[in-house]
Amino acid sequence: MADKLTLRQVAKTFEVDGGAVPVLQPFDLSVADGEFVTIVGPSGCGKSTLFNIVAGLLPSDGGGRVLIDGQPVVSTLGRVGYMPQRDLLLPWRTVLDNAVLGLEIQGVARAEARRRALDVIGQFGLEGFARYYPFALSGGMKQRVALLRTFLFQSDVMLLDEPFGALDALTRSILQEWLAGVCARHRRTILFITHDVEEAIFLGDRVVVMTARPGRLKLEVKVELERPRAPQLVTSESFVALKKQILDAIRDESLRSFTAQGGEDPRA
Amino acid sequence: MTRGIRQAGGPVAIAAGVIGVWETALRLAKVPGYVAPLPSAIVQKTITDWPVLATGIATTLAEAVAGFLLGNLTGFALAVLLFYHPALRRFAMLPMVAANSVPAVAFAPVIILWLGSGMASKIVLVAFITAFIMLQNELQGLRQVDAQAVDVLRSFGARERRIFWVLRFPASLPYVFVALRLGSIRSVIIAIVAEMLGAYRGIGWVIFETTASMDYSRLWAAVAAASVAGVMFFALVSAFERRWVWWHVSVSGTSRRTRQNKGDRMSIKRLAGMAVAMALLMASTAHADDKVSIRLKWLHQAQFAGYYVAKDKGFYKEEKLDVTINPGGPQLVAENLVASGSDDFAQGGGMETTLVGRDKGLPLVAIAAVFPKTPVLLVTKKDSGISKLEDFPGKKVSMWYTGTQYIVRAMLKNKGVDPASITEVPQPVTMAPFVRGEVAVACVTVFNELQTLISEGVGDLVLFDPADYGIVIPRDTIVTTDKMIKERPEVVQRFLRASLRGWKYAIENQPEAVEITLKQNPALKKDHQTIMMREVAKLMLWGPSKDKGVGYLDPKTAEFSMTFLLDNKQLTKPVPLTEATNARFWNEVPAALKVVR
Repeated sequence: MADKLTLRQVAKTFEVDGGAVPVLQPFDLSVADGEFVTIVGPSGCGKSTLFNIVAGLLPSDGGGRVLIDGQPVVSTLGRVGYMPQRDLLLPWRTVLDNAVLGLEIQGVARAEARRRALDVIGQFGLEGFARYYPFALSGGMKQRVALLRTFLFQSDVMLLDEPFGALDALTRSILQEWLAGVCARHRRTILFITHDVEEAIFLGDRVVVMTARPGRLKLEVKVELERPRAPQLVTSESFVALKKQILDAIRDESLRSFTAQGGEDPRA
Repeated sequence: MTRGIRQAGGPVAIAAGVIGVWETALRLAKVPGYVAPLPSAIVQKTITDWPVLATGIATTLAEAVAGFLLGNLTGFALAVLLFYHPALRRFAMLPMVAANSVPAVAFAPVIILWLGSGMASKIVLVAFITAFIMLQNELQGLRQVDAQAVDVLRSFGARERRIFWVLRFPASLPYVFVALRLGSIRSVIIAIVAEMLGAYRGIGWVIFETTASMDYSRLWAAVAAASVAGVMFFALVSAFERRWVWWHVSVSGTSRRTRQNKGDRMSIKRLAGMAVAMALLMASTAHADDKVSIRLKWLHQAQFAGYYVAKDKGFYKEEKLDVTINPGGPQLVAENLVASGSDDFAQGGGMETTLVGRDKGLPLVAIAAVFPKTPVLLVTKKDSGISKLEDFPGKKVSMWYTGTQYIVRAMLKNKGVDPASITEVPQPVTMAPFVRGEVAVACVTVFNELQTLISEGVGDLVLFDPADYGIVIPRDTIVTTDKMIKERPEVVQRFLRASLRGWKYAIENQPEAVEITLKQNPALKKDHQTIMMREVAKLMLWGPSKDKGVGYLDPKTAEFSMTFLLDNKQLTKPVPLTEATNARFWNEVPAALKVVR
């Protein structure tokens, strides 16, 4: 399968008070067309910086490049659907008008954009809510509106930055299963950041573990579990083995990051 | 709708209760009306003075709204400019803050000096203040926009212009409306304050003018009108805010969580209804009758009975005129108010003030003279040993330095007495120095000081009438402007006809005229007004006016007035009487309406 997205030697160093703080070390990653890649790593490992670079919001240092379909692009602005952790819905727009925001900016006619949104709104569990305003929705529903907005936006790649991070555990697990279903129906290339290892395995075709800051690729694991994946899967032997492998790697990195900041190693 | 009534019911009931208690308390305590008028009296005054108040509200609101729109647009544009060019902020903000750290009243006089006392100066002042409020708020509003939301739009490929209209502008609307709400109140306040400092129209002017003329119940009505104007403006802005920023917590509060839809935001129809109501209120000033006003040279009293009578008896109404009678006061110059267009007519100082005004470039024209000669007399006590002007040398003579000094000196000169041979002293408001004998001779007017002396029992007086010594200057000329005569001659004609008719009626029916006068200001004393009416009638029928009719302006005495003023260097050059006077309107009034039998 052809690579949809390729990162070559992407890196970032910030200037803070005159000193150079490396956040992301030269980083390579390829995501195949239609692949769902999840990224886990300790806090502050530069995942969000990585996303900003992929989305075109931040330039990469030096010779780092972002390729789409194997072609270098000047900017990925307008080609990558980016969804930060917060829903960031516009409170003065209805659910429907929020959902079509990306299409609107791409220049799709309003009626056409609305038609496309209404076609899939049911799959996002928002049937009958098109004319509601965000304040009337629950946290999970708002998050689904934001996902719908990212989904409708005609893009090569979707970047989801901890979309379920702020939700309670029950809602989260329901949404995970739902997202897996949506992705099965509409094949999309997705990069997905999470703190939750179970979520990373459950959703991903591949899990990428990053090191503590400055971020680097630590471990890459293919998830060979069959789809559709049922919630009970998390207790299966192969799932638990994968989880242990990834957790160990993360734990290692988290401790390094913790001690690097002056914390005491609890194992010592 | 019923919900709206229920919501409004509470505040209205409270207001009604407060007003009820206020009214009762004032009635029980018997507080005099000029200290604190009864609410019912203010309401009544608001109804009777509605044409004046409505014009005032319309003027003030027009200034406030125009300045508000101009200022907020400017402030908004500046905020956008400074938001996108932060480097400019350092240069722009300091002078803005410096200018705004001083209250608007401080530089209002300068703005009025530069732009005049018309509406422009008020609009500029209002615009200046509201622009600053908008700049500060909108700048903050634009800066508080969520950076991640901007990132989402950028990742969708949106350019800055698009981001501004889709995100930044709507997200800053709550701040815009904070500025608009503050600005709506401030703009009315600033317009009123500026009007009080220099204007001839608007609520602020009404407040200034009623204070000067001690017409306190109209003052209260004006204050009430001003706050109504402010509240209406504020309500309109708030309504727009609920319409457009209903989604913000500052507007919808917690109740929004319970509603699925947009909450109780106002429909376009209701907003339009409010705007139309405001426009109708303004339009109510329009009237079928021609609206004119006359400015009196002093506070309400029998000296102006003719106009009260003409209004009360419906003479003006018959001429299709809606006449407002505005009292004068210590700080008001009737001629200036006519020249500026604030009033259409005046019973002004006299032929000399008309001529001096004309000499200074004011477009004044005398169309009649209420008094054919000056009401000022010189008075001395019989026991002073003075019986003729030749006895004056070496005596102390007190006089008003408002022109009276020239009359005294001319009288002496005409009798061959050297004016330098007497000792002139300025005359105070009170007659006490004369009563105590500190001055031998004093000036009096026939209807005020002379009557005071008589009523205080200072009898045996010797009077010297300037007219007996050849000094005849028409007083209390009815003046209007070149513009009125040119543009509304038929209104001038109708006004003069009804006014002379009122004067004739007043002279022929003095007790009734006094009663009508007392209605203008209940604080007036009936005895005093009765005497004044009698003396005014006598004076008005003096000389040729007896046969020709009241208000007759004798060309010979007008000519004399000019020579007299030129001799005393009160005029810089001769003023053509064909410009300063116009007999045509008086001549057109039929004798039956002006000759007293």
